[in-house]
Amino acid sequence: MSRQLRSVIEDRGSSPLGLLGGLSVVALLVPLLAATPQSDAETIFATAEGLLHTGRVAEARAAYLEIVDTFPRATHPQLVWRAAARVGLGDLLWRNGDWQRAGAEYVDVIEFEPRSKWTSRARLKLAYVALAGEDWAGAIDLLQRVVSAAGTVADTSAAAAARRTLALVERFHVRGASSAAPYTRASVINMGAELDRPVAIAASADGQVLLIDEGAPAVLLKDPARDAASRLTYNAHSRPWWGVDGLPYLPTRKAGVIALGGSRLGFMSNERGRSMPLKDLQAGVRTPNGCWFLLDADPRRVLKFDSDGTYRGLATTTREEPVDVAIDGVGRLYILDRASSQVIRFSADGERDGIVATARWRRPEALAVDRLGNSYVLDRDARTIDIFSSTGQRLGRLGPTLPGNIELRSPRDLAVDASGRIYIADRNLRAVVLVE
Amino acid sequence: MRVPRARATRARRLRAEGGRCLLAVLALVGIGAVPPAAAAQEIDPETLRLFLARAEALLDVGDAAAGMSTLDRLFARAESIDADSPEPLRLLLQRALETRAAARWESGSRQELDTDLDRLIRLDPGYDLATTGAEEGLMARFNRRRERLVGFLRVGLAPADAELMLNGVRVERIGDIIPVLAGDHVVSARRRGFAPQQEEVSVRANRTEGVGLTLERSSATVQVATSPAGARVVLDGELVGTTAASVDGTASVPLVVEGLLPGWHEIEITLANHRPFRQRFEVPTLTDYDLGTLDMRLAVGAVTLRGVPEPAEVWIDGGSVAFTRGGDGSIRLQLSVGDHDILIGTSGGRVWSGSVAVVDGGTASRNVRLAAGLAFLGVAGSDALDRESANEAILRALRQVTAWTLLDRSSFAADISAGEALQLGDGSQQDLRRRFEHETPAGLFVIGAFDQRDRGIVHLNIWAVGAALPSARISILQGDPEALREALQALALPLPEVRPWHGLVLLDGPLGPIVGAVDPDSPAARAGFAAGDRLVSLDGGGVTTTRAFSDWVVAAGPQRSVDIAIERGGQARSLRLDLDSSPQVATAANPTTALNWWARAAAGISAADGTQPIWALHLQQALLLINSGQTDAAVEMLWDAAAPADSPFGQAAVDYWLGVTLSMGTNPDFSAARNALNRAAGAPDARLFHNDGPFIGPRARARIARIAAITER
Repeated sequence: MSRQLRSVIEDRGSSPLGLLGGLSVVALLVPLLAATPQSDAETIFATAEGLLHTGRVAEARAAYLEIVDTFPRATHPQLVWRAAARVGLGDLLWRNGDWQRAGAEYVDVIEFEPRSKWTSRARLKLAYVALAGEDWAGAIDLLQRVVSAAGTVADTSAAAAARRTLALVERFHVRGASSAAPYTRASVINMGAELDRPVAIAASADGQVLLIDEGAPAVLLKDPARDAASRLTYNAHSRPWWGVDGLPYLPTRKAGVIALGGSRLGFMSNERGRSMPLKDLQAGVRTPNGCWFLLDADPRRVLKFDSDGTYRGLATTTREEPVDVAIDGVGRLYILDRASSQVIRFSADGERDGIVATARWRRPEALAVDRLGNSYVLDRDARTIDIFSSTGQRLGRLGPTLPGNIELRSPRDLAVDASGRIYIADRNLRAVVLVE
Repeated sequence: MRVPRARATRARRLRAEGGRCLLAVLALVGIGAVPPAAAAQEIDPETLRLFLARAEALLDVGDAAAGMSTLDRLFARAESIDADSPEPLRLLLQRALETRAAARWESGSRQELDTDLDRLIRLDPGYDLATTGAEEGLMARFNRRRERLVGFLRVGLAPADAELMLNGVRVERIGDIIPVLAGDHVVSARRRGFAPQQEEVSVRANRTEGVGLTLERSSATVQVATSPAGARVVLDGELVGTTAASVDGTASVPLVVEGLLPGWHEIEITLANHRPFRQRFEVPTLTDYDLGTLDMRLAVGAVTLRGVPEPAEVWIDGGSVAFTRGGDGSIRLQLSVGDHDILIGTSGGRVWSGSVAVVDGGTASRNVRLAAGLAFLGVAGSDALDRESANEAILRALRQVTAWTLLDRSSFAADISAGEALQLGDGSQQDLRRRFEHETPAGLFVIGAFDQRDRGIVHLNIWAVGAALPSARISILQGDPEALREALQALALPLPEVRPWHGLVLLDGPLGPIVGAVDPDSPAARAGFAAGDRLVSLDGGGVTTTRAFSDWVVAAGPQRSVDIAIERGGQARSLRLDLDSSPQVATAANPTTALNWWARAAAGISAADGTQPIWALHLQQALLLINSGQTDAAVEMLWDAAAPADSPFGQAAVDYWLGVTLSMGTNPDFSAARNALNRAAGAPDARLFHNDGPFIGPRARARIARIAAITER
C-alpha cells in the first residue's frame, strides 16, 4: 500500500469520514491502487461503507467499482471483498428502485465469487428480487438455501432474515395455496410494564416493538428476547416507524423526526413559496434511497423531502385525506386515504402507481405494509384489520374478535414485522395484541 | 561391311548419339576383364546382354574385329546353352548367333556361318530368320540349312483340348504341323479324365510324319473357381488342391479335379474367415462338369454393443469401422469369425475396450460401460533406450490405475522434442495437441519429457481433451512413477453425475419442512404432494429440517421409493415418493480444482453406468471454461449442447449459460445473449445444475434487465 493511502486511512479516526478530508476518495484511490496488495480491498470497502453512511452515494459506488476493477477474478479469485463490493453495487441499484438490475449484481456474486457470507447475502437479496417479481417458488428456494447454508458460511443475520421472510411467504403464499388461514392465534404481549393508553406502534423486522403510550406519556422499546421494556422519555403521540436502515424513527408534533439513538431532523416545507415548519407531524417513512415522505395533519397531506431534507413537493392532493403511510420491501410508498377509502401506491420516486386496496371502511385509521407488498388496513370503528395482496386481492379480515377470543376494543395502530406477525396497539384494551 | 537394314538404322542413331561414348562406358564396367573360365560355371544373362550390346555397337561402327572378338567371348560363356535352357538365355543366344551370322555373311566366312545357322535351328526348329530383317541371301542359306535338319509332325488329338508333349516337354501348338529336328521323337498326349497316350515316331528332314493320338475317357472331371482365390478343395474327403489366383485377381483360375467315377460325390471348399461350401452332386456319366465360380461368403457373426451413447466411434482390431444402430440405440456390427479387439470412443473422451469371439452366424453382445480413457503418449527427449525404459516403467504404473482405461500410445512422443512435450501442457502447441486428441479417443492425456540436465527425472504433462485450462505438471523419478499414479488416482475421484430428483420446493417451518411448491410433472407431483403439506417423517424416521430431507434424499440415491408421512389441513396422511434421477453439473470456482473437475467432466470418469448425457458433460465443460475466462470456447460448447426441453434441468440451463457467456468478455453479443436468456426465463420451472437445483427464472430476469439497461444506455 502506498504511504500516502496508508496515512490517509490511519488518520481517519473514529469516523469513517475522517479519512476524506474533503478529498474525492475515488480520485485518491485510482492512482494509488495499481500495486495495492489484495488485503487493501477491505480498507477500500470500509471506506465505501463510510461514504454510503454519510450519503455520498456516487463516491461509494465508485469505491465499490474500484474494488471490482482493481482486483479482478482472474488475478484474485479468492478475494471476498470483491463479492462484498458487488453486493454493495447491487444495493445501490436497489435503493434506486432498480431491483432487477440489482439482481444481476447479486447473481454475479452467487455464480462467480468464492463462497462466503456475501454469497449468502447476495442469495438473500436475490430472493427479495424474486419476491418483488412475485416469483414465490424461486424466492422460497433461494431463501431456504440461505437458511440451510447458515451453518457453513456463518452469516447468521442473512439466515435470520431469510427465515423471517420464509415465514412471511409461507403465511400468505403457501397457506394461501392450501386454503389455510394465514393467522391462527392472537395473544397479548407482555410489554414488561403496565400500559395506560397505547396509541401508536412500530415493529422491527425481528419483532422489536416501539410503543407510544399516550397516558404515560412514554415510549416503550421492547425486545422480544428480553422481559423488560426500555422506557424512553419522549412526549410523542404520533406514529413511529422502523426504518430500512434498522433504526426506529419517531415523528414529533413540531420538532421533526427523531431517529432513536441518533439525531433529530427538522423539515421545512416550501409550499406556496414560503418556508414553513411542519406543524403536526403524525407519521412518515424513509425510502431506501433516502427520501422522506412525512404525513402532516395541519393540513392533512404527505410531503416529500430529499435525503438531505430538501422539500420536493406534495405526494397527495388536496382532495385526499391521508391518515398513514408505509413502504414495502422494494421501497414503494403506500398512503392510506380516508377520503377515498383507498390505499394508494407510489413508486420509490413518488410517482403514483395505482390503488392497491379499497373497501367501505368506517374509519380507516392505520396502515402497515410487509415486504411482499401486502397492505394491512386498520378500521378503528369496525375494529377490524383488512389484508390485501400487492395486486389488490383481499386476503382476509381479522377482528373484531381475533383467534384466541381476544376482542379488540379500540385499536389505534398496527405494525407488521418481517414474518408477517401483526402488532396492534389497542387503547382501551391497554395492551399490545400480537396476531400470528 | 554390310549390315542388316534395321541394325543400320540403329547404327546411324548410335553414331549420332555418340556411340564412342557407349563403348567407353561399356569398357568402364569392365566387361573385358571378365575371365572366360567363369562362364562355364554360371551364366549371367546380364553379362551376356552387355557383351552383346558391346559387340553390336562395335559392329555398327565398323570395328568388326573388336565386335567379333567380343562375340567370341560371349559364346565362350554361352557354350552350354541349348534348347532346354531357360528362355531368356536361349533368346540371348539366338540374338548373338543372328549378329554373328550376319557379320560372317558379310565377311564371307561361310563355314563358320553354317555352324551358327545350324545352332540357331537346333535351338528352335521353328526359328525363322526372316523375322529379323536379314539379307535375302543369308535367309536363303538359312532355309537350305533348315531343310537339311528339320522335319515336321502332323498331330491329330482327340479330344482336341488334350495337352501335347514332345519328348516329355509340353508343346504349344500353333497349328497341326510342328517342326522338329529330324530323328526319333516321343509324342504323347494327356488330359484330365482321360488315360494318357504316347507314340514313338521317326521324322526325316524336310518330310512330314503324321501321328494320331486318341485318348480314352477314364473318369469324369469337375472344375471350380473361387472368389477370392486360395480356397482348399476337398473331394470325397481328400484334399485335391487349392484354387490359384488369376492374373486379374477377381476370381481364381479354375481348379480341375479328375478321377470322379459315376455316382454321388461331395465337394467341400474352405477358405479362412469364410463360410465353407459343401455340396453333394451326382456324376451320371463320365464327362466334364463345371461348378462355375463360387463366391466365398465371409463367415461372419453379429456383435451387438449396448449402451453406447451418440456420437461414438468404433475401432475393430485397430481400424475404424462404420456401423449402424438398432431401434434401441445399440450398435450392430457384422464381424468375421474369430477374436476381435473392440475399442469404442465417445464424445468427452470416454472409452470402452473389450474383445469378442465371433462364431459364424452367431450373435455376441456386450454391455458397454464407458470409462475414462487415459492415453499415455510416451516420453520425449533423450535417446531411444532411455525413452523405452521410461515408457515401460510409466506404463507399468498406469496399468495399476484402475479408474482409467489405458490406451498405450507410448510411441507418439518419439516424434516430438522434449520442449514440445512440455509446451503441450500449456496448450501452446495446439495443432500437435489436436492431432493427438484426434488420433486417440481418450479423455485424459499424459506425455512426458526428460529433464534437460538430469535424465533420471521425467516431467509429465497431464491434460484433458479439449481443455483450454492449464494442465497438471508433475515430475517423477524415472524408475519410480508413484507420483504419477497418485496424481491420476486423484483425478479419478468420482463426480456425482446423477442425483435423485423429487421436485419439492421446501422451506423450514417451525414444526418441520413445509412444501412451498411442487414442480409439475415431477415425482412429488405424481406422489400427490401439494403446497402447504408439512413433512412429518421419512420411512418412519422423523425429519425436522429441509437440510435433513435433502441429505437423506442425496444419500438414498435415484430410483428409490420412500413413504413420507405428512400433515395436510390438520390431517395425517402418507404419500409414497418414487425418486427419479436427474443429471447434474457443478461449477469449480477454485482454479486449483479446475483440472480435476475438467478431467472428470471431459472424461466422464464417473459415468460408469452411462447415465450422464452428453449435453450435461458439454454443459459441465462449458461451465469450467466460463470459470477460466474461455468464453469463446464455452459459447461453442454450449451451442453444441443439445439438451432436452421437457426437463426442469435441460435446454433452459444451456440457454441460460449461453446468455451469460454471450454477455461476458470484451466483445459481448447482447442481442444474442438476451434472446438466450429470454428463452431460459420462459421456462418457469427451469433449474440450474440439476432438476432440484436453483431456479433459473430470477437469475435470467435479472440478467435480462441488466442487458436492457446497458443496451439502452
